Amino acid sequence: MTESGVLRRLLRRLPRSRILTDEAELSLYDSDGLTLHRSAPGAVLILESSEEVRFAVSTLAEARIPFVPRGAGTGLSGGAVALAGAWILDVHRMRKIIAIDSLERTAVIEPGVINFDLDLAAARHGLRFAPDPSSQKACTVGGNIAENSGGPHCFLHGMTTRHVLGIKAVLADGSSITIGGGPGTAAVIDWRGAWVGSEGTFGVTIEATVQLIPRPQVVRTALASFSSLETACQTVSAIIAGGLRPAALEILDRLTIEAVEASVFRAGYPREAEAVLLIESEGLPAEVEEEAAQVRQACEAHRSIDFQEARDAASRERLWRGRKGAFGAMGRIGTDLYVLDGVVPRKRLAEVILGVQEIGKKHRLLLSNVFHAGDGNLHPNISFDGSDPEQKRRVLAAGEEILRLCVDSGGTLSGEHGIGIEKREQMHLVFDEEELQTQRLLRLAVDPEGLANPEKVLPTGRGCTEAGFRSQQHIDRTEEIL
Amino acid sequence: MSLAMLREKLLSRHRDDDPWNPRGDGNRDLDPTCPFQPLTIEGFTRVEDLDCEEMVVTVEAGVKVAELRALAAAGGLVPSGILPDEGGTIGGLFGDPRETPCHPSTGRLRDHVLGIEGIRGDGGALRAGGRVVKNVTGYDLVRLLCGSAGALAIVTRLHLRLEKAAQRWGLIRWQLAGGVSGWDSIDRIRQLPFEPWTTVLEPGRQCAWAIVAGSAAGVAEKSEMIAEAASEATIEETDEAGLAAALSPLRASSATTLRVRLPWRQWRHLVEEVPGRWQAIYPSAGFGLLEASSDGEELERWVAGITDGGGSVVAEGSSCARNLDLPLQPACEADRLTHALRNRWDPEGNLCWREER
Repeated sequence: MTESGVLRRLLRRLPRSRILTDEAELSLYDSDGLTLHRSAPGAVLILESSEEVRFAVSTLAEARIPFVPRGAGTGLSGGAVALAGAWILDVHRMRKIIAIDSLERTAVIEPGVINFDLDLAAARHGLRFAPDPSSQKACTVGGNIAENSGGPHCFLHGMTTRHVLGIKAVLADGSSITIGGGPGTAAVIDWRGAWVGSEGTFGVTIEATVQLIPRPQVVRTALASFSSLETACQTVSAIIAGGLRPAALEILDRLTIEAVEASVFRAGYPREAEAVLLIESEGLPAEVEEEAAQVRQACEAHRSIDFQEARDAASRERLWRGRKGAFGAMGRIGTDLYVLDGVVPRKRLAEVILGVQEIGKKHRLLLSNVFHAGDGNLHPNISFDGSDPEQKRRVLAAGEEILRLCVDSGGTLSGEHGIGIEKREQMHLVFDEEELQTQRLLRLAVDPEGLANPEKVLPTGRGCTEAGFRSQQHIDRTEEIL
Repeated sequence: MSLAMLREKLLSRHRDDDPWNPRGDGNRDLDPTCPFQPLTIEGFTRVEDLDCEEMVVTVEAGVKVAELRALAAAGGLVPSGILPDEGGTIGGLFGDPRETPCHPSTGRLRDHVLGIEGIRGDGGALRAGGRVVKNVTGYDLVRLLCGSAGALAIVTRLHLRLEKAAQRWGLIRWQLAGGVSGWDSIDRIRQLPFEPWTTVLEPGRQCAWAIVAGSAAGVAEKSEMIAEAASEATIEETDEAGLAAALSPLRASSATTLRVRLPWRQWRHLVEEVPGRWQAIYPSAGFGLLEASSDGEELERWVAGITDGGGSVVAEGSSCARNLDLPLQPACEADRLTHALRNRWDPEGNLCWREER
């Protein structure tokens, strides 16, 4: 089928207003939260139902046009950026919470449901959806599934994959499939586990059954301040080694504290601190009390300079506002922000974070740190001016060095953002060619034509500039047809 | 045994030979009469790196679960997601993990395996994950292969998460008053703001119990709340050994034991239908073990009732699968993906798949 045939067929089922081909409109989709890499799609289809997704994917498959599923576009590894002339299938309007079953503790949802909205709906049943990425007020659960998202409370409750029971999806050939299911479903080879975190390279999720968990009876939040980032990291290592399992252990460094305190996310963090550690315990009253006391002891043993506990829900909310708003607050420092995502063994947090700072200095970059310390999941943030090519080059070089440092320290490339475009060429740091071939074969087994989110996750041996150029040519052709 | 030797053996299969059947030490009911050639991982027996500070261990797949438990215990740790009464090898358990009665509170084994290494059916190298606790680098082959019974690949090395052993264990027992009122106590426990380690029903003995784990304060608090919800319950302290002793008989299977999975709300009705045949039910974990009726028609009726209620029935062990002609794992829509992957990873069919078993 020719492209004009594709468009004519799409127009039979989709209104013209939901087929975007105008260059200005497409430019809105040329990146996700990772602004370092931009590439406009061939077209954007805004889809509102499972039937429309099936129809769109089948139509594109027939014409061998690749596609990229996209939710809110808040991802940070370029996973929702269209390469190789791909079209974007925007599912953010598929936001129905189909059912919440409080007895079974499950929810059935469409992929465009906002993470925070699901959590709010679950709260009405005394339940919650555990994954809570910093972007939770904007990101979609479909996106969380694609990236296997984390968040501060995943330290205790596990990543998205632990909270997904079943998936209905459309494969790249347009066929439908159900993987896993709700309670009562028999255990089989865990394709659900492989689907979560596959970054849209297997197909499009059109419905998911997710597990909800009870909301805790008591939550205690505290903020410990330290005179060095290193000591804050050492405190976390000691808490872990002591066998404590708080719900969250988050570190923010001085630059981040300054940015937060100067912004609308002001949280009352002590400006004189080199680092703050945000700690949350949850559960029943006595066990929370016990854990909170042990955490406080660990902080004091590591010479925390201040320790404040949230007295009520409002002060708890305030402490979290700073953490959740940290990335937004960075907008005060630079026009662009590169949020890195590497993981290291928790006992090596302090030495790696020092190494990260050295790399920032070496490349003359403004580098701050906000991270999930309990998981060893670092987020070095580089603030820069994206319009300055020389600065951009230094940012990319520093990013690569930081990830190499994480891998060399016994860690890995990504804890929760995924590989996307950002790190696909660095997969060689972790896997050898034969091991990558194993992953390639898996992808080909599910999508033999390579139509679903092409050129992501696995190395291609080239950068994305070339792909972006091809995309632009594709747009021009599409415009002519319409 | 080295990986190269294993690969050589795997690829030594001639086209007309039966496929290999990877196995640990054969302690599980994985069909002793299986016609396929056993390919054992018992030679992979090294514990390579036990890091008590980081709470991670790397082991070869043939390491016995008991050996790992003993090594971890010396550091005050336990392997996460592995029950105290598990036996056999780590690799065997990874290939065929029994569904744990405590997975809603502790997670499943697949949630705690941080990384794996091994070979595909065609001998190609396979590696996923690593030794850190959070990792989304590449596709999640850990979950894909955990429970695949060696049908796609042979895992020879695993990185596992460890955790501090619980300070205390509490066991809360109560009698089910019978009928609906017995189930009300279970429903009340479901409404509590925490997940017990597990909840167990023994309908045949008209009793129920819950287990809680954690710190001294936490266990005391949870035990009291459960006792209050259950009414007239007794609370006793136990330890891991006591727990293993209490759970093992309930998890043993016979040649006619079925594994039934059901949504929570369906259990009450089903148990009233066939009250005497349940070995144990773990309602929060969503499954129970049922002794099959010898009456074929009655069995068919049960199975139909369970599937109509949104549940599923499989054989608990392969002797049961043979005796009752029931699958160990039922066919499902995703099987087409498995077939496609086998064609890529094992085009010669060196490893046997459940449909061939």
